[in-house]
Amino acid sequence: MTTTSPIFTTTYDTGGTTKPLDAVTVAPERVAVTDAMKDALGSMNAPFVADFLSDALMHEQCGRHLYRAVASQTNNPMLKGRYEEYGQQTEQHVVVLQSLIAALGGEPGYVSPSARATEKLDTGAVQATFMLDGSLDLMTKELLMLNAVVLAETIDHSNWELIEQLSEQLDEGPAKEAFRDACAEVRPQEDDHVMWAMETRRRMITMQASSHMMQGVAATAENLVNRISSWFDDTAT
Amino acid sequence: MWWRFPAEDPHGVVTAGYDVEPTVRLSRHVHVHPPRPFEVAMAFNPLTEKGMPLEDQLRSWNDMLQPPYDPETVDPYTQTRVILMNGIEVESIIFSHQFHRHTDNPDLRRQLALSRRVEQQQQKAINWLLPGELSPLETTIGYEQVAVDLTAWLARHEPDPLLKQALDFALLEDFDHLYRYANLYAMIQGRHAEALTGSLTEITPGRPTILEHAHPFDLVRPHYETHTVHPLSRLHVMTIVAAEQQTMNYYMNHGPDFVEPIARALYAEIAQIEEQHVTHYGSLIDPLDSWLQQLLFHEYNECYLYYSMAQQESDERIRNLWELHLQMEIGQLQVAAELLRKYEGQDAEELLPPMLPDVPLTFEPNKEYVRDVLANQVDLRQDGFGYALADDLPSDHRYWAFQAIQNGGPVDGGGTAPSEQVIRANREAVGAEYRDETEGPHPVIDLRRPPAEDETEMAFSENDEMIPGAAR
Repeated sequence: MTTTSPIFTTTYDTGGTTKPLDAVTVAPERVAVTDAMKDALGSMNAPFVADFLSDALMHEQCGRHLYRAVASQTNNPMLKGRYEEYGQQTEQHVVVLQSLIAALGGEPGYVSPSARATEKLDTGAVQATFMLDGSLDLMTKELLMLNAVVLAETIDHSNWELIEQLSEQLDEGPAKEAFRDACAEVRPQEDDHVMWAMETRRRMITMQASSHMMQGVAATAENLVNRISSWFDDTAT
Repeated sequence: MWWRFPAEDPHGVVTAGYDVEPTVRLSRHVHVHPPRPFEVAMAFNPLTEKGMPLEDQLRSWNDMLQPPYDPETVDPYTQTRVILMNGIEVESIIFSHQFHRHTDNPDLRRQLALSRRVEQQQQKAINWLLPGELSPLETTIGYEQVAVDLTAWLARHEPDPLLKQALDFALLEDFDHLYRYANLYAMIQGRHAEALTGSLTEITPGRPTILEHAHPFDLVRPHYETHTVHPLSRLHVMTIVAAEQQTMNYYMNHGPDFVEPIARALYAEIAQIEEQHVTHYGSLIDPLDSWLQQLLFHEYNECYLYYSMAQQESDERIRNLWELHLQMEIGQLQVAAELLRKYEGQDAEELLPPMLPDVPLTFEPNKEYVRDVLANQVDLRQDGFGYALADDLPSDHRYWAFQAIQNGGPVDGGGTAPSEQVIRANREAVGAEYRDETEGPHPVIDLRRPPAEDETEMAFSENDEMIPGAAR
């Protein structure tokens, strides 16, 4: 499999291409070749797979941004450490996907229409973590950030399951091998991410629901920060 | 507080004439240094410049308000630069207010409020350079000169053919507005508009304003795609949106300044076309970008534009202002970058090009270009997401229905459109309409001066005052 330099945001300068539509104008040299994977993918619907892999790549890129955003805002050291760790792994997932797309003959810079929609979805989740700060208490904000991670990791996990399933339709050869290598590297981490996110969310909610200390509406911000900082002390990484 | 423009950019490219003398002080005491040549390299990355910290940017009244320029001696393109950059600051303020209303994050709101307050001061520092001696109509002619030479320059340098087409299309409409206002000026102030434009921009019909009124559905263009758009294209679109928005706002507010019914009516009509232009150009922007990304792009565009204005400014005092504002914008860009990194986890360097595009926006004559577009595109109309020749629009096209409503009668009769009335009225008053065709006869035969006027031109006294009814 070829390797590529990681691109965390696709732009003109990184070689972005896309598909022109009625309401989207694209300069001729930036029009994507969406059937570029047809030789590698045999009987599969190559343009659709190209769109889907672009979508999955966008989700990884947005995931990387999400982890950086929540790591910079959380008041809990365990969460911060985990967000940073998973963020770094997600950066590697970006590299793996870009390499897979290149190995299949596709354009890592291709941004499909579904990738655009995914970006809208994902940035919406990121924005929910900070755009309403004024009407959220700090504990709710922590939960919101974790919610965004659960949402992101759930889709991410599903994407990699599907990528693995797609590879099963291929005959043995370089393309199947590229899929297999990518999945072997990423899937265990994705299992870990989604399980951790869901379990941590469960713990955060049950912990708050059962703690009388959390009820005080007059709690100061300082007290809340101290309280949040001590969450998960038993599992600090 | 002193600030210094960099003598050398971070890439090691020496910028011509950038000495280390202080160029401006944040007070009414303006220090000057010798003019610099214009061949400044554009290898400039605002993200790597120090700039002026945002918290140091607030100014006193004395620092903010400088004397206006002299309308008798000003370089017409200095005036266009002032008008453009005022519009750019107004856009930044309006955008910031909209962002403010769409977030409930106190930290963001406070940062926006501080930046916006500085931008308000920048806007005052720029717009108050306009001299009070200028009538609203004279300022309007300046606005239309901006529209023509800005749009033409952008079109000439636009990499994306469909975005270029959008610029070419509206160019001909603003070009016509200049001609209509110039005739109004001749009629009610008795002066030649070329005294204002310096004949750097021709004044002659474009796509006749009466024909410009289109159904709003046809104004909506396809937008660029944010991951693939050329950095220069993004800056072009943001710039033209801001400029047209300011023009729209100016006409919306200054139309009622006039006593003369024809003036009031002409402003009302052209203000409607400016509304069309703001829709037309505004629809080119990819709405996928987040608020914080848009904030970053706004600040980056302002850096690009102040950098560009400083390169070409012939007025030392005003060039110092552009340079000061560039340093301020760099500081504002840094704040926007920090907010983006903190809240959306994205580095500004991921979104922005490694350096400013190597094409500083320049005000300069575009006469041949405008004539070429006129000759080839005057009959174009908007049709859905595309364009069509007027003759190719079916008789039941919504364009014709809209025309019939807007112009209150059959189009071919001239209707009651104020833009037609003003030309007729001026012809009746002085025997000929006003034009400033420096490059020969109009490139479109149908738009040439009526034969009866060939031998008749308006007569003006030596002090450029029109002699009503006189002909030579």
